[in-house]
Amino acid sequence: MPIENKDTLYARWLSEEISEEELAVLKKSGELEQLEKIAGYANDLIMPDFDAELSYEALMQKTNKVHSQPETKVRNLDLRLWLSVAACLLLFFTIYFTIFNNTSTLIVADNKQTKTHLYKDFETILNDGSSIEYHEKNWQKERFVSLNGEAFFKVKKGSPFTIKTSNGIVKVLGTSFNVRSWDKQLHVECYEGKVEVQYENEKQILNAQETVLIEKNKLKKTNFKHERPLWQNGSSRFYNESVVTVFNELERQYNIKVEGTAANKFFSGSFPHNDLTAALNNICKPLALNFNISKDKKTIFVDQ
Amino acid sequence: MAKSVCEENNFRTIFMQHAEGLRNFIYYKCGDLKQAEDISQDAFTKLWENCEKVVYEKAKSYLFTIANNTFLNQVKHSKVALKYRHQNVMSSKTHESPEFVLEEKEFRQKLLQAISALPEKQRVVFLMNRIDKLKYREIAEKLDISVKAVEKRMHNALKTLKEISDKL
Repeated sequence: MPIENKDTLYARWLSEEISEEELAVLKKSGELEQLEKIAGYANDLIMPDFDAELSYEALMQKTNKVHSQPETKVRNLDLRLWLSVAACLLLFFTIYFTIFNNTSTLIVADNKQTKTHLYKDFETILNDGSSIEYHEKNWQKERFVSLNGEAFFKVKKGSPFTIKTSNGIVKVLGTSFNVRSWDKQLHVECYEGKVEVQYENEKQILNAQETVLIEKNKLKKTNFKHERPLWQNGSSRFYNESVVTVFNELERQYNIKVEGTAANKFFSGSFPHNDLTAALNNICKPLALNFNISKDKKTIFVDQ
Repeated sequence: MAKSVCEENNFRTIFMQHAEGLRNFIYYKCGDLKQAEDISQDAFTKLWENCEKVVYEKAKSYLFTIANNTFLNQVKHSKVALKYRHQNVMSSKTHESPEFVLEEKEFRQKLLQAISALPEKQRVVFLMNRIDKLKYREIAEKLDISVKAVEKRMHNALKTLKEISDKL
């Protein structure tokens, strides 16, 4: 008689679920004796002891969620304490800032160069990589802004408006003007009204269409003709400025690295912000400099 | 209302029922007791963390699935090293000759080696039945497979082990 479900026969024998006939076949073939021996010996196998209580304690400690009553109480108390401390601090700072009105706000350039930021009674457009921070303390008496980099300002008439840069201080009454302050270079262009530029112990008053920059540690005043800073139209303009300053600006605009030296050269002119090769031609040709652009277009090598 | 796994009493009950079986299950797969204990504990930690999402009745298969997945991810297989309860149980019952005792000892050794060499799936089923004394239906539930599949694995395990004892 053929055996059905032969692929589970031994298993069913072990769990005593086989028919008499099947058992008889197993017995006859001698398989039964072998299977009994295997199952019997395997039955004697053991695993190392398992202490469930100990293991459970370990687990609960690991999960950090032990639910025993006293600990829960302590934790609640802790939380309440911290909440009160936080509330006190919040109240303290709220009062402090209400009374002293001493907040400062940091604005960082958004890479678009066209966005006008409006604050209180002035507006500003930030060039790439630049930031300003303005301080609300005594704003009515004196408007005070810190500038890192380059920005165009348009200021309503009223109390003095002061821009502090790492290179000098620019003070204005209602007017519009551009301030560039990178590294050791300060460059101010006045578009409307009057601007006072203070560099170390030197002061210069700029009228409309007048510009000043630092040359040999002195302020040098010249005239210009454009209506708005050129960087807002997608190019950068320079007036007899060190080529180092020019390349620094190029690095910021194109997010590249310029290597090589030509520090003794001075550049007057402009370069566009949307065409690196054209920009390099604009700068290098008049100065008789050679340039190479690396394969990944991230590094420019310049030599004389 | 259904029992919640988040209730600590219920969670504790689940742990007491399944922790050892789960540890053994992973041990049968990897043969590393420390790793088996870690994986088992991690599975319970996950169950506790997700207690709201797991139905009480499904907790067991959740644990075995999680533990199995963790095991598959860690993939560190060592040989399963098992021990016999008492070296002398079988032989003390019978008063056999020294030759028989020696033969028996050799058989135990060979059997252990053969079990270690079994395909993982067969070994797990075989040992769950022999050591944890689980019925096929219970094994099927834990592994989330059919009873028929368990029977096949068991049959194949016995068949392989029998072939090895044939050679002796």
